[in-house]
Amino acid sequence: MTTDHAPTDIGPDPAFEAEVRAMLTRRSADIGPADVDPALPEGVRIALVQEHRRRHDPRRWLAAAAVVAVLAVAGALVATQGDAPPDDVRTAPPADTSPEAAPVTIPGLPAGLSTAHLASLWDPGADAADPDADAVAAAYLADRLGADVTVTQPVIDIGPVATVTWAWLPDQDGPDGTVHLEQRAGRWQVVAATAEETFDYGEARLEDGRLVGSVTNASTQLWGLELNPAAASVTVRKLAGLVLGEASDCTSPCETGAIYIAAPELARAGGSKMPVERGPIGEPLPAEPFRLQTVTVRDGAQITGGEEPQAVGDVVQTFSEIVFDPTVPPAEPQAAPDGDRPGHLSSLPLGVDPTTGPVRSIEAWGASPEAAADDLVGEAFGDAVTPNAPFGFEGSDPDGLWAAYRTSLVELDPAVWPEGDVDQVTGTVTVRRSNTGGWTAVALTNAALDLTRVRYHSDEGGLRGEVRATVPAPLRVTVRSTTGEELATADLTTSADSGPTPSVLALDDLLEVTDGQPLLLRVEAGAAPGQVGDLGEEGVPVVAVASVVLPGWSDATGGPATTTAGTDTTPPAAPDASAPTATTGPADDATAEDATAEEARIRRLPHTSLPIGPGELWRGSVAAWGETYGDAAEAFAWAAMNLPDVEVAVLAPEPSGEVEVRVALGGGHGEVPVRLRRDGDEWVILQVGTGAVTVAGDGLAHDLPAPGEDQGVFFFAVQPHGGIRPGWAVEGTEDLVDAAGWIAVLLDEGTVVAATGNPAPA
Amino acid sequence: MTAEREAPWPDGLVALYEERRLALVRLAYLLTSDREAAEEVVHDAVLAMRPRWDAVDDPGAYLRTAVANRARSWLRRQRTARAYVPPRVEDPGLGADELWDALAGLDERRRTAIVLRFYEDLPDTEIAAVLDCRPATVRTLVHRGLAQLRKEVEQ
Repeated sequence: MTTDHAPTDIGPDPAFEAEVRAMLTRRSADIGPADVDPALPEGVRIALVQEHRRRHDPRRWLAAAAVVAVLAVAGALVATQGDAPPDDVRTAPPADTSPEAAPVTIPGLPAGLSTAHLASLWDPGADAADPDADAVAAAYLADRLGADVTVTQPVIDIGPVATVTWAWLPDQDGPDGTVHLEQRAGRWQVVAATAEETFDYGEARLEDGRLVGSVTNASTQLWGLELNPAAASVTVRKLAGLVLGEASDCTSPCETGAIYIAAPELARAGGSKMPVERGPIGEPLPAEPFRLQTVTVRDGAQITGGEEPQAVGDVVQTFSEIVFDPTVPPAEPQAAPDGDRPGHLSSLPLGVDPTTGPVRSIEAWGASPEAAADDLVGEAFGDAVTPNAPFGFEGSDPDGLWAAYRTSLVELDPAVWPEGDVDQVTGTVTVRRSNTGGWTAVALTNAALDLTRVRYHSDEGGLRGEVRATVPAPLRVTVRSTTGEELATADLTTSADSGPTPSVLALDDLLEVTDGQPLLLRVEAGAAPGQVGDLGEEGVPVVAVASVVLPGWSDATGGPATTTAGTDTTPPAAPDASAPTATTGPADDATAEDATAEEARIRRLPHTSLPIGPGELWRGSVAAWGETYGDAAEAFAWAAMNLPDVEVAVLAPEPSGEVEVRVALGGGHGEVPVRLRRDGDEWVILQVGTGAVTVAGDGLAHDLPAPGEDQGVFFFAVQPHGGIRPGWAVEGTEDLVDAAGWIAVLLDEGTVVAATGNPAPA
Repeated sequence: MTAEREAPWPDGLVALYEERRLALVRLAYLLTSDREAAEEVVHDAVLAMRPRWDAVDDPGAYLRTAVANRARSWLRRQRTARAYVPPRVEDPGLGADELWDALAGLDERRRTAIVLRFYEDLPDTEIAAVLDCRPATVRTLVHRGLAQLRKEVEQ
């Protein structure tokens, strides 16, 4: 390969560029002619994509066949019924009220807001030559923080909203942060900006024209935080947090409309959060856009009025900015609907709680939340659509039983591929932890479709409410049972000039779900008239999607009824621990009690801990689905490896030369004794917990129950980085030499019946 | 086997594959660090190109773009796994190569830009076409990619 290309004109370092060229050329030689398949023989298949293992599983094929049958039946029903919606669904004209967008979750900024409450912080202007989100974010950062801030990654969420990460340039000790943008009037506009270390308004909320809640700061580098609203300046090592009013013409803290952090002086408390304000903050906010801004500097001479640092050498330590638009009334507090529970996820219909089970698993799961989300994306859209960005963590419940991940999806249109991506959908995948240690996906939604006004009424045993759509496209809503029966459907046509006003599909008549039949509430929209079709259908760009499986309810407590045999889409033999009364759960009282106990155990088990209690060899019966023993073991062990804050205490060596190490699991979850013995240059593990675990010779002996027929024991080496290698079970002690630990599981037809291990770093 | 696969392969595609397969697999390998994935990427790209052969104006560029896009998709899908699983050493016998390791740490856009610039010697405009971005963005990606590589190596 030639190397005569001129060195890049930015960041010139010809020597390093030549080094990169040489490396690439050198490594390309790793692939020699003998490594490449022979020439293409005519008519002979040259390769097949190695399908994901799960796709070969006959149960999944059956499920896929069932889905096809469902779609076929549904299509037939639509064809015979024409366009007339069923009696229990009607369409309504677009609402004439302002849209109530979904609340935004921007770390560090007040909660409970929708983007409608946020005025534009930065608008490139109508004359701008169609700058992309990166460029707008960069211009904004340059204006606010100076030229030393750079966008570090391109847009990670594509769609009506985008998030751009930024950082101080290398070698400067500044913060990292994010800029949040939204497409308005055809342009990307900045609506919020934060730094990782900032004043945290996450516990504050906008209520009745006031900012209510608390403001905290957890910086480990802030000394002597002092607010000086009157002088509008701070001196060296006196850092200011300013909340300014009236963004329009204030260059210094304004008395009118200003809200201040009312804490004269606070000392750093070991890096822990410091309460800066309690209770309602300030007077009612002015009825015009106002700015909530905090800027602090370190070692700088002063800052003025919350503007960007002025002095040379100033380093922004924290930064956040948001402009409220009080003219937009706050969203109505969402009254707790029937069946609502703590932990409700905003993307799901009200009354549906992913934590305790009223959402069935969609046919997607994985060993990690991201894997489950990825699986759902593939399941819903097929191979033509791939996640376009890393799954961004959006939220979870305190117990770690469910989590939401945000991603953008890219559909590749075969007609134009590989020219580029033709359509994108930004969406949220909600996943729920199962007692396998793995995760199942329970919902896929995106902001263009709002299901939060659909409520489950446990007393009536049905759904009622509104589906709102803000997409300029035909919209079809179907509600069908998982056996294929189409219970409700309606087509809704919106127009491109309807703007942000949502179209409303009203479900006035109760949609009963009391028959125990799980329901698939699915909303899909095409990009142009006549293009409404099944998700993933070739040539149908999908611009909006929502899909969630709701089980039937059998009583007023919201407990799901038994399912219909053969329609279960959850992984076989995988009772969902977070749904103790789930459709695949126990059928009699005794097992119901067991399930309740299991739920309690799981609920106590943060997803970041290992299910090995203090001083014990863990035994139990936990379903771990997998096509092979290895798959199931992987799923279990993979999740178990996600350990935080593991500490190892080495006790005094015993005369025998053995050492006992106590592995403390993070978060106060106990510790596990591990006994080791020096053997030459290696340490060998003798015992974990109270059971004898011996590593000897080339084999691995252990005190796990002897595997019976159709059972197997699988060992996995824990890598120094904290993960395990998928599909790579330990075969001998040599595989453990570089490992930080190991885990062993005994599986019985896909069910983990015992496990032990030492996951701690050596 | 589908009827499509039973249809004769276009002579031009067969010739193109025979001529470019080594170079394409090497390109995919530089983008993925995975031999098997590289071969699959190239094969998939060729397979996907087969029914569109007659409609493609510049088969070589098309195939290169297809390979780069599929390699990027592969990297994206690997990303979540990498969060839990350190990439396995490709071949311990090759010895340490810090720059190669650092390359694997780049995100797929930066990595693609670096490889296409310094291995394929493509101009910014062609790299931009592959990455579906502006040429200015390519320069930024190359600049930041180099900076990240240098930082990793120096550490």
